[in-house]
Amino acid sequence: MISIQAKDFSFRYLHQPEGEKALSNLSFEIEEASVVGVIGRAGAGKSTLVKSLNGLVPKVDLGYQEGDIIVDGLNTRHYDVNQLARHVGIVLQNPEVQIFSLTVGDDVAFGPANLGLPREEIFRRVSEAIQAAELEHLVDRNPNEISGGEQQCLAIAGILAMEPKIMAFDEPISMLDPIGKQRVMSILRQVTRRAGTTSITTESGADIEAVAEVVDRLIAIDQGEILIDGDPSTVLQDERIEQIGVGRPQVTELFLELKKRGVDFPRIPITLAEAKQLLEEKLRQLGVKQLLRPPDFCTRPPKHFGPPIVEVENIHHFYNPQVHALKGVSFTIPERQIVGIIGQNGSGKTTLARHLVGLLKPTNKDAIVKVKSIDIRKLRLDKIIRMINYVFQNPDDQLFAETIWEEIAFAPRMIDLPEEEIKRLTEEAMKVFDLEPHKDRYIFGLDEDLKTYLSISCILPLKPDVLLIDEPTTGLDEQGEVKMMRSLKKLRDEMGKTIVIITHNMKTVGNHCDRVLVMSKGHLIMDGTPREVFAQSERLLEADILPPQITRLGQALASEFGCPRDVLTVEEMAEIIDFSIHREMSGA
Amino acid sequence: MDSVFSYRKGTSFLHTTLHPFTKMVMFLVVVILSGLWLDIRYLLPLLATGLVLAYIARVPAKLFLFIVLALGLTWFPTVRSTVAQARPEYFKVLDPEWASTGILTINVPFLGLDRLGLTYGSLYWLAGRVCRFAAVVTWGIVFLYTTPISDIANTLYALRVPPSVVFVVQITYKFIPYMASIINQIQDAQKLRGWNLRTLNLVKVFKRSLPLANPLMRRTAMIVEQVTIASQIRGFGSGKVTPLRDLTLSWLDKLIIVLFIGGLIFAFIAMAIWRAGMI
Repeated sequence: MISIQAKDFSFRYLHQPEGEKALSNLSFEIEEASVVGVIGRAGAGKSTLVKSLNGLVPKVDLGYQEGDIIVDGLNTRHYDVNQLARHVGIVLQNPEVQIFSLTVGDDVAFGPANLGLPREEIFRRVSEAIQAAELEHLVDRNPNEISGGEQQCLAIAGILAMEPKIMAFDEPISMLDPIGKQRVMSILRQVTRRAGTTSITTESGADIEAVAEVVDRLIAIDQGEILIDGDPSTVLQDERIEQIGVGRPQVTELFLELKKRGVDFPRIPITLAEAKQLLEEKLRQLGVKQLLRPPDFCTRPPKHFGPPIVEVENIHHFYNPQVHALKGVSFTIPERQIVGIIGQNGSGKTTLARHLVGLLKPTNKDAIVKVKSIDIRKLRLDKIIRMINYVFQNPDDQLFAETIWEEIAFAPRMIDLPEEEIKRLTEEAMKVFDLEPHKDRYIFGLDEDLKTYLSISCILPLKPDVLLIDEPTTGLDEQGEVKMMRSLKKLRDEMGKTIVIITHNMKTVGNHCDRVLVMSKGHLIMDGTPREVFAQSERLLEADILPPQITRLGQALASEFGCPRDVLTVEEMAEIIDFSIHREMSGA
Repeated sequence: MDSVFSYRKGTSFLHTTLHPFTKMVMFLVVVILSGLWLDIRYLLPLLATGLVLAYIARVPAKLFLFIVLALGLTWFPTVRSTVAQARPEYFKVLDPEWASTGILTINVPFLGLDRLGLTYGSLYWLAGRVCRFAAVVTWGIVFLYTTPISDIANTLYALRVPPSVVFVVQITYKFIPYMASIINQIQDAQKLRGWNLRTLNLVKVFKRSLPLANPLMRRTAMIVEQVTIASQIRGFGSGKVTPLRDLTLSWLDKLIIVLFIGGLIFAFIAMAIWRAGMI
């Protein structure tokens, strides 16, 4: 039975010029009880599609609609959003704006109560939704005090309690830590399977692996049009996926690489379990007993960094007597190192970063926070920001000027540099992320990737030696991520900067960081190279972290085939498998 | 972080025994009395009772800094009103001669301003104003600190208050701390770019407020849009809302409500007959 049908559906927002469309001539049908992923880069039209399912587009986000969307037998043109809310539930990206009440239980009841249902019916639905979202232990808790993953599960429970036939998830896991992501996706899958609900989830690329684990079908869209539509394996193998910058799961990349090297498999997997099974079968069939690194394989050689530039010792921070956010954190960072700080939401990463730039002071007197051997606790902020600076995650928190040029020139103006110097520094900063062609563009309406590059460029004219960047790859597609990390490396290699990134993206850490600091509940629990840290996957669970998918594949093959537990990249894994197979075949 | 708008779990009778409706009545009576009375002798007991309740509820002392902050921010209208109380005919209960005794006064013979400055009476009025503000804020903090917003919302629904009004209360309560954190974040992000407001030049102050104002307006617009969407998705505006709890009051609740409403009626009568609370 058809649950969702789009018939030549097009949509143009009010602010869009004529001829431009957010969605263009979409036609598709989605079967009941299926899980469909809609993938595409930021701005491709995914959110618009989700919002059109319950009439938010065009009734709340105004614009011009052509064609029709039929959901659960209802043409969205003829119903209000709150009428369609009984049929289509939407879970948004940011859980905080979806929670209205002060206890988990009351928040789940918010939707059914709004529908005017009898109280007994509300309590039945609340109880079932809380059980389905595995929130039983949190019923009386304040939603502000639970983790990001739990908050998103609460948002899901709130929608479930309205018992819609269709559930749409708009990038539901992009703001969560790896375990939070896993939890939300597992609930999404369970709910769909149990209740026969049709689900649609959108994804820009960073979490494609989590999405691939749960979907039955993928629709790739680009510039508002459907580019590829089919079963997930076919879509993810399609070359056009690279063109739209979404990326593939690492295991899919691995099998495509092995195929290029002449190792054939009956199919290309998209999930970790499938990849493990296919590899095990192949290795057994070829008689491969052990997976080894080629002797000439060059794991990332140890780099030579400079003397310590950041020194932190025994930082404690209490927000209030009950909230002990940092518990004796100590470490040093040498010059020109790229460091990743990882940990679950609320683990203390941002609090730590705020201490490093002097926005917060340790609450204990014996703490040490030194940058370039100077105790920054005694320095004024205007001095600190020229030694170490911090870029917040959301570019919208800082961008205000009319054009890109003006925005970058703001910082040097604030420190009263001469106009010539401002011009020189601004031009220099624009080169890092190739922003010169866009220098006169208005800030309003900039694409997400440009906003992210711009927010980092804005502090470069201050010439800080250390850059702290919160989630530099959020909102970027795969090509954007590559450009971001290449530019950061350029800053390190050519300008001698030390880079510290706070991230939930383990692939970025594995591929680009020299070192990882793992935070959990205010403690620094691990400190080492990505190889050393990701090899200890059990310990990482304390911080709600999962290593990159390719590392987990290696670990899954470790017991039977002795695969190294610290594989970091797809190329490395392909080398290991290719070498081991050839070694076996040549009888070496 | 604690804020004046945040509820915290506790074990005091205010947290566990009193119904939100009772606390609402108590707070409203205090607001009305504080609005009526000008005499510090009447207002001080209201403030003192509020402080005792705050102590019982274990309200963190730092929340009361809000009183100082708000008084500091409103110093200009306060001073303006105080210096305008210098004329003897303003005082109907206090001895006009004593009340108009000048400490520092001037005569302004134009714009009908007449006598301006500090007198015993104007200082007495000022003390009453500060006390009234402190009393209302103290009772307000006690109420918000001991009553979850969901209980307030449910009580309002049970009292048949229109859902749109309850929703606005709920959203305001929830999003004020959220917006405060966004303002902090924007301010910090700009400080890290060398931004500051340290200038006495008004044109520069205006220009320098843009790095705060623009992102704040943009973020506010985004949040309003997202909250509107999220509430509609959850069926808000569909019609009749089912209250999740009944309005069942204990004998203690009933007694307190009767005492407070009775007290309010008596205060009205006393004010009408004996000018009680007036100056």
